Amino acid sequence: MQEQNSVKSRETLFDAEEMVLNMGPQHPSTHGVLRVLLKLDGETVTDLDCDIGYLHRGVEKIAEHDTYAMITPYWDRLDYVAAVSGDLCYVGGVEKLLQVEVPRRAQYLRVILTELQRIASHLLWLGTHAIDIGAVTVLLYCFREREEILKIFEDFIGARLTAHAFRIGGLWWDIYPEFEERVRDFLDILPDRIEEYEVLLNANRIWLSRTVGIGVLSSEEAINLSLTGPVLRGSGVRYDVRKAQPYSSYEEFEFEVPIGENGDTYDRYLVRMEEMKQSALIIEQALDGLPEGPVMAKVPKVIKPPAGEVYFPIEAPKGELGVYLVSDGSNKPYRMRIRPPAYINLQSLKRMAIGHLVADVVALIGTIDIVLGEVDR
Amino acid sequence: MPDEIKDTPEDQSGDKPSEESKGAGEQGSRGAGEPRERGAEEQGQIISASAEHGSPTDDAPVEEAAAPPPAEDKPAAAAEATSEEKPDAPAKDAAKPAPPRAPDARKPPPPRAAAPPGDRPAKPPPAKKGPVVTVEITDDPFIDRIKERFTGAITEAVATHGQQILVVKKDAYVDLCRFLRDDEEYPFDMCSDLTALHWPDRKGQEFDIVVNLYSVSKNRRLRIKTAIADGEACASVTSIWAGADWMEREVYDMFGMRFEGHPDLRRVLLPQDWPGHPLRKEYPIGYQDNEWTDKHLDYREVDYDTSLIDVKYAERR
Repeated sequence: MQEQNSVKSRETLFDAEEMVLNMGPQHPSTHGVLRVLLKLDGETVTDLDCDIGYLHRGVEKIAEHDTYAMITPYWDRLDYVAAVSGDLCYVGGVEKLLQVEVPRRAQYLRVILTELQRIASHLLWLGTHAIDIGAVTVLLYCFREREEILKIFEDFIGARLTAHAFRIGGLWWDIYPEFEERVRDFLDILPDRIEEYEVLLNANRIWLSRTVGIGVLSSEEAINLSLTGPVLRGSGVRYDVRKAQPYSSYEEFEFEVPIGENGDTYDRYLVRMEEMKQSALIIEQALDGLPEGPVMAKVPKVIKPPAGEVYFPIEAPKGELGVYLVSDGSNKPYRMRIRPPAYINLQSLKRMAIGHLVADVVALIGTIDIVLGEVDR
Repeated sequence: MPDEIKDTPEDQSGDKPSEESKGAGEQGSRGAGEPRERGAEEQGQIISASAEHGSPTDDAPVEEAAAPPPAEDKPAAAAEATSEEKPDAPAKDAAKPAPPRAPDARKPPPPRAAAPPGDRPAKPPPAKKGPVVTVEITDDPFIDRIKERFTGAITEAVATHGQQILVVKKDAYVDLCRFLRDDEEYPFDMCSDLTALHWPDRKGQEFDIVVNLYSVSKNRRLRIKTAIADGEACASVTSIWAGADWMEREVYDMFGMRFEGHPDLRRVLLPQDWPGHPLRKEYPIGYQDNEWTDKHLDYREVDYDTSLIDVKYAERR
């Protein structure tokens, strides 16, 4: 009797210490339908589990039943804040399988559009990341600039978000006459605007205390966790697919790959801010050297790549977005595997969050920069 | 690529006017149709702009096509000549791509219908392309070293589209992975991607595990493939690359093979009690699991005769 009581009391003692908190799937700071189960000791996270798949649509399965051209729009809906980047990955993979050389003008236009998209994606990330941590102003500023990019896209493609710009072999349309002028106008204002954000955040005491030293990842750890994109570069690894395995004539542009030093949330923030500036530089170079000529290669109407397989990675705003295509010679892919950067980067949340406070988990989800459309596919 | 370009000269010699008129018509109509709101004088600009770069579209391939050895043109021309003699039979073949063009209701159809046959005989080359794309790796000291180290275990070492693939027997799979990560010359320290392929017809080797490796310091990629049978477990590489964790979980979720040594092998995208594994080839695409949805989502067949909507409308009336 005595013994039982003591055991019981000890259990309650321990149970009271640990608590499981269910964050999401409808939590505003989880950036979509991400559910995170947190095991807490007081306010400190001791264990964490991500429950994903709420947005699973089975794109890889659908792809096995669609022709190559029909699959492209699905890629807009994976990372829906960077639709053009998804398109580039897929069409690039199919073009490699078909061994089609894309006209240089199309390659340059693709670079311009994907870099604009990168800026738009990073702006959205910055705004939402900041509002998660408590800086509301930045969100409004970021959306102001993002709107300009979306308008440029809208006039070019007709869609603001799911901008389906690329086709297998090039671009469907050439740019409209005012396109260049409008992009240049945007690039003129962008540096000042980025400076505005930096004035708001860089030395902001609240921002610093919420980001410096939070979610530190060493470079070895980051590589071992298969992280890519700004999350990897924040840890000091200079890996960028645009430099490492250039595609779409990225080798012709001069730009820096910024890296962080400490691998914390603040460094990842700095990396992304610098990336926006570098993207602007790339766009400027691409506009200056925009070649004349066609925007579409000669591609057969019925796309039947020869049997074979190819892995084609690109540097999407979130990291290395890859497609692994296996063709059996028919007009539908035998298998299409999407290598989703956000999904693989999200693995690091557990590693980063343990030992931090609940409030930091919000900052960490923001710093990984996930889009659930891509995580769940 | 050479094939497509090689085709163009005959294509254009055969029905150049139709090709051009079609291209110009399309671009013109697009230019005029799309920016309708932008004002009339700009429309002119747009059309002229599209016409300007329209001509390089047609010229460039011709120039390029002139470059390839003329010897190759002859068989293709001969093929076209033969196809010209029997335009009806291949036209049926071409009937499939043709319909989308037919609604254009322009004159071209007859010559266009004759042109695809010209393309058709040239189609076989893609099949010829296959073997050229994939070549045995013979001149790579690193691959040779691996082959030597894992004698007998590496069944295939090929490069396809310039990407190196090693096919390894499943017993040596984990050893090879560990070896590659710890290699001093080319440390493959990142498991870029891990996925699987299902080949239901390959008895005893129904699944391929495909691992895309990347060496950050040496900027080199390598793909490892290993075949396992249906129902067989595969060794996990999570102890080698922590990043493989969710990738293996996803493969388990989608294909159903187990990974031995995985610390937390659960479904990751689908609900834990989901029946079946969707990316298997036998899993149908139009499949709805009513049992599962009944249980979890409280799904009911809607009886439209007595549905609430009708009742509400009836009340309003």
